[in-house]
Amino acid sequence: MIVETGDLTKTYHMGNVQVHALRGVSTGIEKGEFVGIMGPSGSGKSTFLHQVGLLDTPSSGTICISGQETSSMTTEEKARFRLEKMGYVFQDYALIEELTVLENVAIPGLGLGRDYHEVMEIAGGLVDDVGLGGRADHLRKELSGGQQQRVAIARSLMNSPAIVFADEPCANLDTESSQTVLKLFRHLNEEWNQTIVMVSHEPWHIEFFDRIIQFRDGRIDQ
Amino acid sequence: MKKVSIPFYLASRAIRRGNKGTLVLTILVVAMSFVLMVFLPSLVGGITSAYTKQVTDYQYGSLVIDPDDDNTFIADTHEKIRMVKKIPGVAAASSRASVSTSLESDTRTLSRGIVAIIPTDDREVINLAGKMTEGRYLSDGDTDTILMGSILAGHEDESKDKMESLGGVHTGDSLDVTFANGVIRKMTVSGVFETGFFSTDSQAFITRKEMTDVLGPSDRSSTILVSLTPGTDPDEGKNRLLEYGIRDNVKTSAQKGEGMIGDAIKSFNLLSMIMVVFSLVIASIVIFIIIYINTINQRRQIGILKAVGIPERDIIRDYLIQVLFIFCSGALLGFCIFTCIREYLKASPLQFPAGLVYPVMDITIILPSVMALGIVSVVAGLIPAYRTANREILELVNG
Repeated sequence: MIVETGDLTKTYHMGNVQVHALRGVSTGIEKGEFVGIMGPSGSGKSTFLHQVGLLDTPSSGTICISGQETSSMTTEEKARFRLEKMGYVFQDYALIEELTVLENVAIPGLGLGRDYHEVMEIAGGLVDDVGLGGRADHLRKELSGGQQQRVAIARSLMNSPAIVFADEPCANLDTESSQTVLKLFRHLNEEWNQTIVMVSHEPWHIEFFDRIIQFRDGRIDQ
Repeated sequence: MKKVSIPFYLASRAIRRGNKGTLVLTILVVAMSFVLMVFLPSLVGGITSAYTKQVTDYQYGSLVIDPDDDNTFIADTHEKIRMVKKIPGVAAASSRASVSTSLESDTRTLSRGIVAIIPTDDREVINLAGKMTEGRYLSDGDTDTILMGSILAGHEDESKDKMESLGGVHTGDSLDVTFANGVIRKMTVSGVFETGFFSTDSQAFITRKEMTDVLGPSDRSSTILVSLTPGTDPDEGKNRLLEYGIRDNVKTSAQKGEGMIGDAIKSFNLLSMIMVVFSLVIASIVIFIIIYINTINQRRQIGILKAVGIPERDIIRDYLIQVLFIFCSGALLGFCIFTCIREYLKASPLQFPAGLVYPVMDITIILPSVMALGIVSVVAGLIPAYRTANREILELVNG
């Protein structure tokens, strides 16, 4: 298992009200899987992704990624772990405004302290792979939504992560761009054996996934 | 292998590709704060420097020997001058005697103490001879001759006078000088000098010979002025005079003149301090607000960097580098603006009672100001960056 959770819970405190976003989720994801996390709004699918992506801290339970238990990690260790083992694709692209396409893709590699020339070469290759070779020097504002999302996907792959997390990456895209992004994920999964966990609420995305984990009311819907 | 510093990488691109207007505005604020912090203290430094030079060149020389506390005059002047001149480091000495008189021109009468000097001695200590605006300086043998400061000589148009004057006397004009013993002498103005120093330009001089003719022979004087050889520190010179047994009241010209503008300098220093504090507060608030707004606008980007795995400390360092760039550019620009103002005022100095004044570039003024501004800028920039980068990733990413 590349990701394994045990009895994972997350409770938000909003004044006196407690919101149980996750109520004991135990599941696992195998290496090389393209898993879709689906469910209605408020079912806990994004919360689950944030916990396993180490962007948030669960209230209780265990998360094991690439064989490493993460609950005892410090903030610094988690940051390093994210940089080395994980890639992220957010709903609204999340590119750095002042960086070009190439520089955005290179950031995780440079953050890891890798050789500058090597990082730039890999970043250039990734930009070509996502079909944006001619736009490597463009800034975020000069790209369409679909192009920005492809840059985000290229960035998520920079450090050859064990797993890529994508949080509704097609939510802001038209159908054609969504198709392109999903085909790109499928291609990465099939050709590179890249493990991908993607949150979605679009039923037509199902055809691209190997497996679906369905959420309802903070639990996995069996 | 070439590693890249992430904070420097991010900061350099933020500076190059970020909002130019905000960047220029912030740099200008730092530059203006720098000028405000440095200008007044430098001007005070200029006043002090001009005053010290004027006092040394035209009023007292390097050292002043006054009568000791038990006497109103210095006795055995001739012998004392001879002794003083032998002391190492002493270049020249001149005795001065104050004489109470009443000066009467064609239009005005003033009661005024005038100074009796031996002109050849005095011009070795004080450079009045080089400041003649009309006529000539005194000669040792002159009698019935008076040398006049421009303020005392005054103007025919009273409104132009800085103090009560003789109503515009010039070289060759006659004055009736009445001495304390009742003797009246008709004296001709040999010349008028102007040093730009209020205290000197309101004086008048006669020769020692004249005084002896009127008041009789005397070896007394009111004060002895001493000039030191170039490079001799006045305090060191003073100590040497004391070591050689000059038991009268020896002061450096700075000590002697302290009372004249000492209070003004203290007031200026207080004003400078207030100005510095206000400048620092304004600079820190503006930098804080700009960096705060900047970080608020970039909360999401900070969240993204954290999510990707860039450590918090690198994100804070990114902002720190940006703040340092703003501070360095601002300080450099401020220094250039200050230098331009200083050069302009050097060419067209300000007229002060102490003489012509322009700001003095003093490292002991500039360095603390630069350091204080730097610390304030860094702290003001770091606080919002630290507070933002410290937040939870999801809070930042979701706005």
